[in-house]
Amino acid sequence: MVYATQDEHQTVATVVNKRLDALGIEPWLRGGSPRHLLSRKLLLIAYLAECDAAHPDYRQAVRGCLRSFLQLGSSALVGGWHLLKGRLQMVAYGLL
Amino acid sequence: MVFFEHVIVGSGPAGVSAALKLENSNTCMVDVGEEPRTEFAHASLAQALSCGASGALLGDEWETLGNLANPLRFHPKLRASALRHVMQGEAFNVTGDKGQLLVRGRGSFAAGGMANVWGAQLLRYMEEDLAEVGDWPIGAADLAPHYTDLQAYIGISGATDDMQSFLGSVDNLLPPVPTVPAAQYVLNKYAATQKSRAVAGLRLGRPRLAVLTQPHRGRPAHDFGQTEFFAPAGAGIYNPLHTLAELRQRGNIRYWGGHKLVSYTEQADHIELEIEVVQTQERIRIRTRHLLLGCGTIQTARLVLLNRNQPGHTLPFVDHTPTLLPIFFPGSLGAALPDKSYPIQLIGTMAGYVKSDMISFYYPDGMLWSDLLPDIPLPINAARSVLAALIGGMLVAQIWEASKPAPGNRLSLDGDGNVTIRYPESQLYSKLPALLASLRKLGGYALRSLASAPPPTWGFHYAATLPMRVAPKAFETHTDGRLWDSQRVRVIDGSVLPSLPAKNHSLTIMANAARIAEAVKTCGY
Repeated sequence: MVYATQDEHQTVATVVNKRLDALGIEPWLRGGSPRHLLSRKLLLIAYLAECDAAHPDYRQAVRGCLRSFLQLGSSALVGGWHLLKGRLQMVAYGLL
Repeated sequence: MVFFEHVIVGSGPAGVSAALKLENSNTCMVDVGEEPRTEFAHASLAQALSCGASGALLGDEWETLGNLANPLRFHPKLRASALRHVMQGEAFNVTGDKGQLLVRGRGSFAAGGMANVWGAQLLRYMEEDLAEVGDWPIGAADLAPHYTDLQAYIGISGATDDMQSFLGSVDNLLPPVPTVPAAQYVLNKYAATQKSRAVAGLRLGRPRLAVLTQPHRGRPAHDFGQTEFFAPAGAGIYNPLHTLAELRQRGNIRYWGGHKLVSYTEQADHIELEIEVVQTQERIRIRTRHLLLGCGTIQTARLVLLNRNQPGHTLPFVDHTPTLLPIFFPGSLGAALPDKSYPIQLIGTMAGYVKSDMISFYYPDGMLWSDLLPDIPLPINAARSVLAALIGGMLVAQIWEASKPAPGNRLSLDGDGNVTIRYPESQLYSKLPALLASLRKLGGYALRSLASAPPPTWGFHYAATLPMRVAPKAFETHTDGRLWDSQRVRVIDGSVLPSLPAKNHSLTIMANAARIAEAVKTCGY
């Protein structure tokens, strides 16, 4: 079992208590091994959602070439926005 | 004392191949023979997902999530609870150039060995393959009759196409496994561009797989339920367990599962074996006229090193370290995904280069999508959305090149008999720019920055610890498998292969084990 460091716990506590953009902050912490506690928590939710019959849309592949490109574009834009927001929040709340 | 004419250690591809030759001649197979602790009780991944079988998918003890903290803790094919038994054998550590610990690995004590999780590509080595590596004391012609027999016995699916000269011919080839849209797209583009000879160097075709697309010798066709990452190979994918079951049913060999070879002592006319009963740890002694070691490259090397008690002695060690490369085919995006598929879709090679390669193209939908999300540099929800858009037009290339022993890559034992593999030398695929250019002509796009190499020893194509030689020196083997100074102890697994051509060595291990077993039958003592 790999335990999280005190810093990781503090980061997660800050994200939760201040209601920061966890999804936008997590990619900035994702690299390295062992994974950051925040990455582990969000990935765990992803796995549970994927394996839960209540979320059949999790593995719903996009049909149609145009729809695929539109979804790629919108995901990149929305994801990019969250990344930017997450980074700014990390600076603002001293999570770097 | 119990006596057998032949004792074969291990029930993996080498062991069963030798046993087929030595049945009906007082042969015993000694095998730890671990079996799955749980069963994946779903016919397909889709079925498991639709009924929310998170216990089956993630493990009742969350075994599949073992990579959450350390992404390189377990190979993706070895995490599921029904597959965890496959690598519970002798432990080994892999260290890098500065002695840093890179990987903690284990050999296999499973019945059927590592073949429980193989991709089932069974390929011949051709004379050109062995000429390239240049250090094999036998030729492809020595293996040819055994390749032919094994392919007929196992049942191989594939196609007669541009890869024929690379893969060799197979009599009575079964139809190839079904294609997914991205693979069919590539094949169509390849057929069109080949007419104009526009593709520089890349040859492409269907893989040769021990996956039945029709019933064969009493085994049913594979159901293509995408369970390869969750369960051992089923009846439609060849697994040495099928042969073991056959042999036991025929009653032509004795099978001692739950038994582990501890040591052996060679005398003039027999070998005395010390064997541990795994469950009770009781030790028993038996005798045999011929011992065939097929425990897997690392475990066999360990046994031989322990037997000779030469502390500090190191052995060469070779593996195929693959280069992994995701490739995207925009022309195939949005295609309807099939419910049934097999991971290995295409096989290719960059022709006309001095160093040969083998490129296997995999379809990743048989994994949990959550496994792939961390590799997409976006928030997890956006990454999932991106993957949903890309999956229909995506393949992952796994690329091997010929691999010869490197001076720095060595296997040894520490004072407690534990295996350490020093593996500082590995390289990414040498022809990446040329491959990327060829792929673009087929409508495929990849970034060099996305190419990666998994940790050392994750190729699982181990070889060369006790290499065959015409005139073997210490810790080498004769071409009939005998250890350098032995009359009766032979090695039949990947240990004896001096190097690795670009193709995987699974069928060659089996053919060579059969060749060595025949040498035992005709040795006259």
